[in-house]
Amino acid sequence: MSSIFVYVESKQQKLSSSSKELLAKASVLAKQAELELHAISIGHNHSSIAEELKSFGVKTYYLSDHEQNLPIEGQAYAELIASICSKANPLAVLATASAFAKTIFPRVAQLLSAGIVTDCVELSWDANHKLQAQKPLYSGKCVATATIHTNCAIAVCRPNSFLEKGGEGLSLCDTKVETVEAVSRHVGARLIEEKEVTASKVQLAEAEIVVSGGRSLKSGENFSILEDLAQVLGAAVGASRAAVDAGYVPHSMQVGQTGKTVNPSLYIACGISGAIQHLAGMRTSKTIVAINTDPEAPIFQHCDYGIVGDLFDVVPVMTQSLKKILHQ
Amino acid sequence: MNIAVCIKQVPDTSATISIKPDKKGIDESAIKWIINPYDEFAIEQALQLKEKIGDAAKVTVISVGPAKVQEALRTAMAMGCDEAVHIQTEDRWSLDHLSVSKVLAHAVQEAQAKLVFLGRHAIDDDSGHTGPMLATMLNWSQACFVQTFEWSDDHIQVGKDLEGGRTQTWKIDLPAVVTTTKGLNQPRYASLKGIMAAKKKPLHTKTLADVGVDASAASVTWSEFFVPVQERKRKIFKDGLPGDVEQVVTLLREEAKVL
Repeated sequence: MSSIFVYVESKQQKLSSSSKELLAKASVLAKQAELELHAISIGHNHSSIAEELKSFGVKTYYLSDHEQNLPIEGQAYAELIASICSKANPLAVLATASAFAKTIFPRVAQLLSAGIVTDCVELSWDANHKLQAQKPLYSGKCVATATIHTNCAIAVCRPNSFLEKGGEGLSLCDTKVETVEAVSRHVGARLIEEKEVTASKVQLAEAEIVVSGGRSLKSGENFSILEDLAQVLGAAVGASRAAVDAGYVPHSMQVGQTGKTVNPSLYIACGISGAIQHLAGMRTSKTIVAINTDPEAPIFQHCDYGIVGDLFDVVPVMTQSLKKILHQ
Repeated sequence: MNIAVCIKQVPDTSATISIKPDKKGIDESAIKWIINPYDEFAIEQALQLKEKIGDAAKVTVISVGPAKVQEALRTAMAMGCDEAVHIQTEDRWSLDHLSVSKVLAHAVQEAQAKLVFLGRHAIDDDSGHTGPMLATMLNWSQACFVQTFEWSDDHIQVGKDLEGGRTQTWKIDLPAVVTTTKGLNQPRYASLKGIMAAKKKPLHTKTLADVGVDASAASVTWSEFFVPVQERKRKIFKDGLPGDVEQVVTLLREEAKVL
């Protein structure tokens, strides 16, 4: 029987919320096309994850439990995933568009000669049982439908895109856990050092809530007032290109056409004017709040709720107000 | 040492995108074209490396696309690349990424390069497939989203920012494919002297048939382009604090239901 594979990632021994979202979607696609659903992960074996996979109707959980808790270089990951997939001839392989997946799955696609689409926001089958993916182009200035014609289709999907919550697809089943040996070999790449540089743990691209700052923050230190607000909300902190170009914060925090594209349920833009290249990175946010001193700033044309005022006054009041409400 | 840089010509970041009547692509008639901003970091890094190595280094810039991409190749040569290879296609969308990486792999091998730089992704289709696919085609190591770069004879050392505030440093054996991101360097502008010199530098043109690629069987095809319209509520408050904040917080809870 043909199948769909989902590459899943875990956080604190639980499936990540993006992986659950993807499994819910995959489960519906599997049901529609009468396919089996399998999951793959690389990392330590957590029995709790196998338990979670049951509810999505996952038949087999392929787990490569590498011994050392060291990141393997991309090539080795890609070869492992491709070799697991090639045994089962899946019609589709799905993954969440993390920075990691974006460097691995093009390699997997090449190894499997599979068509690939990255940053999919909707998936469906066409009349010929080919996978179709909706994908934003030009940083979301337009959207198009990609039809993947190869026998195996790879879709790397943007987090927070699908409406399925789980339970709409395949029914509960017993998940078989299959351990896969990772073949270790010389890959010509060694990790020399890994460092924590900032305290923010919420990943921008997957965040449910994003608080962003522009050049009006005036310095990197001043971003701490956004971090205070972000902490109360469990949000990630982002920045406009102007703030990154001014050297306040690293490029990894930039939202926009030459930075990250985010898709949160709430986006709070503080002191951001709303240049077209910034809007391109956050326009799909479900709700947008703008705080700006200039009532004519373009961002107010693209927000749901706006406050005309100095972010240095408004943001701390908002932080206090939310602290009170959310702790009730 | 020969170094290759693969670049793509893309619409300017401030371009307004409109859709063709048949919805099978965008209207390209009024678009101003630029070198993909991430590829500029790739060009700059290749040129800095050439300056370090000296005359023994040669930088070949490669691009796939319609005739217009020769403008981008001339700009790259004006910045300092030594020669250019243009693999000509009819349009910008019919060749899929598997084929593009095959075409580029051919050109990289022909240039006898040991190191390839390209941007982390192109800002038109926002995919980032080409770097890892090219590395796979060549069976070389890859280093993606690179922000710091050092070279020594047979290897390179690269640094990258990970999600969640971590950084990693990798030591990678050559040959290798490196994808560059913002923060790596400050791309130079082409000087007038460079622009004049670029006119005399060699630009080789090839067809897909020359490199043995058949564009007719694309793995992915595109249709139903549209410009998304997102209606916003645009409720703006300017009556002062803390009232404005209280109203917005209440709306976030009760109307938008996002808290």
